[in-house]
Amino acid sequence: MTDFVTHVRSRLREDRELVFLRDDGTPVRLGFPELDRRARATAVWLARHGLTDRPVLLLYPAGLDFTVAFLGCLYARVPAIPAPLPDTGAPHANRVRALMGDAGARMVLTDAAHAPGLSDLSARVADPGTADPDAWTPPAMTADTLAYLQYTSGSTSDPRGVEISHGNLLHNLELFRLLARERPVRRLAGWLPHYHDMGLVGLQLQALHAGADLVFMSPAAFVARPVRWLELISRYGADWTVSPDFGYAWCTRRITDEQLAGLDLSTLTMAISGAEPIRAGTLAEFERRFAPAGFRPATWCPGYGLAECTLMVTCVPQGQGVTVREFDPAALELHRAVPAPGGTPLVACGPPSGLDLRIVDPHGLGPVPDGEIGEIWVAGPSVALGYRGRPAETRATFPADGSARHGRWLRTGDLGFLLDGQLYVTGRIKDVIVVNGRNLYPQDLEEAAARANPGAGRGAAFGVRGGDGGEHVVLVQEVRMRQPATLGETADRVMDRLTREFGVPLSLLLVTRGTVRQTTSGKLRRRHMRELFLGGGLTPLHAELAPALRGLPETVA
Amino acid sequence: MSAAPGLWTHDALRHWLVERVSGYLGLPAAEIDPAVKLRAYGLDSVHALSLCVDVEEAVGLLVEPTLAWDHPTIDAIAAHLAGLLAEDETPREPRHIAPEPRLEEDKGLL
Repeated sequence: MTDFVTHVRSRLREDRELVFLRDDGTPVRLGFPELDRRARATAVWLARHGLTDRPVLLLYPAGLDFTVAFLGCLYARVPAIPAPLPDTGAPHANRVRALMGDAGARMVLTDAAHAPGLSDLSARVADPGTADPDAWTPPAMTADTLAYLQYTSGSTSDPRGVEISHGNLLHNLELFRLLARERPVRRLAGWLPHYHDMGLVGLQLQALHAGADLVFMSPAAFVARPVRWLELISRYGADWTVSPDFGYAWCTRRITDEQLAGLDLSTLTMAISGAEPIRAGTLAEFERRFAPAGFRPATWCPGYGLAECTLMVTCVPQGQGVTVREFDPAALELHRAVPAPGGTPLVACGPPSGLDLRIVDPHGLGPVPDGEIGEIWVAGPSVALGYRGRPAETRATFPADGSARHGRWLRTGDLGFLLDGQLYVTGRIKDVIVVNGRNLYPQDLEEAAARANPGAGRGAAFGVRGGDGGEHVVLVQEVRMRQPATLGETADRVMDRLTREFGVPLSLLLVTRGTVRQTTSGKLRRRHMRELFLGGGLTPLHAELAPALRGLPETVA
Repeated sequence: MSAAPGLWTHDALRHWLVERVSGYLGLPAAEIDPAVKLRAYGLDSVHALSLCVDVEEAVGLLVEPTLAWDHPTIDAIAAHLAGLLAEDETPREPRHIAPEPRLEEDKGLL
């Protein structure tokens, strides 16, 4: 079987269904046969509109309509682009336009409730009511056929769409199936957004691929009342769930003793954690807090992945539990993993399996021995086709190499090492900053700071791991003024703007012009600025540090 | 607005907000100064949304999701909420946030 559609349609069990829990707590359900019927009708409608092989943007709220539209696109050989519903306001609409321009998408699909608000994008509501599902005939598809475009890479002004083929999807979902070992997934529960690779592949598409039930809710409902996620698991007896680290940490912090008393997590056999650095403390605290509700430590499956490899690169298989090892922090800074009791705890993200993995010296391009830190490279059938319409960037990130399976590697831009057969992730050499499982691009933060403070010099944003183990945004911003009163006001204005626009706390260092370095070709040297910051090599005119970063850089502490 | 016992006074709101925010951030309440911008303590969009939900449930007011950015300190939020309550004539008792409503019984799937 070489395409996802044929695979899914071969296992449309009558007794499997999707259940979406609305924010008011009411469940809405859709059985697999009815989902298939609606997807076929949508595919007929799409083909009738001449959209075969033409990308379509899907702007849907959390819910079943998205699943129908996405599957309909797959059935019609229309590459779907799942994206978040834009908030009102110009920057958000511009993001959607930039994305459509990059992908060459001409049509936006949404649901009836949101179509009026998206009229400036000419959003349409697919109207499969007028299409006959039995008129659908499967279009020709192979493993190399483009399935969808995942836009989680690149800044707002310069988005990059990862091209995922049917073969990529089938291979990565097969890796998920193998993780389960002798206990295949029966019922998935979660709240991750469908436009996030972990929500799309890890929840929605995994359920369809495995022929498992999916019970899910909106990300907003989870954030507001995290207990609802665990109630979903309890009530429906789910055996799998997936979340970034922050989701588990948020439950531990917010769920009350009264709420805890009503939970039963004993049906869980796999709780996958991924999409951002995994903190050993989060796992230990969650375990302790939810042991009375039946949560077992062996349920944890820490993993590592990225959209350029469909979703998963490595993950701890079912039942093997968590391996945490401690390493000398000073040696880690020098790219060496030296075990040291009481040192920095790192969580193992599973053994390479089904994909080739090697750790490569970021400078010399040669593989490094086990225990040494380098860039994580991956090869195999899950590695995406490339970036939509960007041959130069595709060649740089997916270098051709006769030594790689399928003739090319994926350079992940993440740093890590192999030890005793497991992958440990230690940092990254690409510029992206990951907060609460969300990718933030430094360019976007730097541009927003420039808008808040026109006429200022250059800015450089980067991520730093704080004393709490979480990732924090730091902005080093050049300013003209030297009067302390003005500096305080400038800092306030920039921080107000960025926290409101991005919803993340920020540490800000105002510096004199000429401090933010560029390469001779004008590229910002963000990593260099980060090293200066961490090494105490910056002398700020004014600094405001988030609590978790205080005491980290020597000069400004 | 009258300061009758049991009603949401400015002080009661402030006290309650400090307690909520310290819970979101995992910081002792004593470390939170109501006059300092909440972003200085690391308040993010997840915390800001939770605050709106808690205000709705405990105080009974519907507020904009941008509450914590439009009114960036606890003092400012308390003043804003007190203003909204003064416009609204229904007297309200402060209440302990009840346990989350249980999900609707839904055994069909099992």
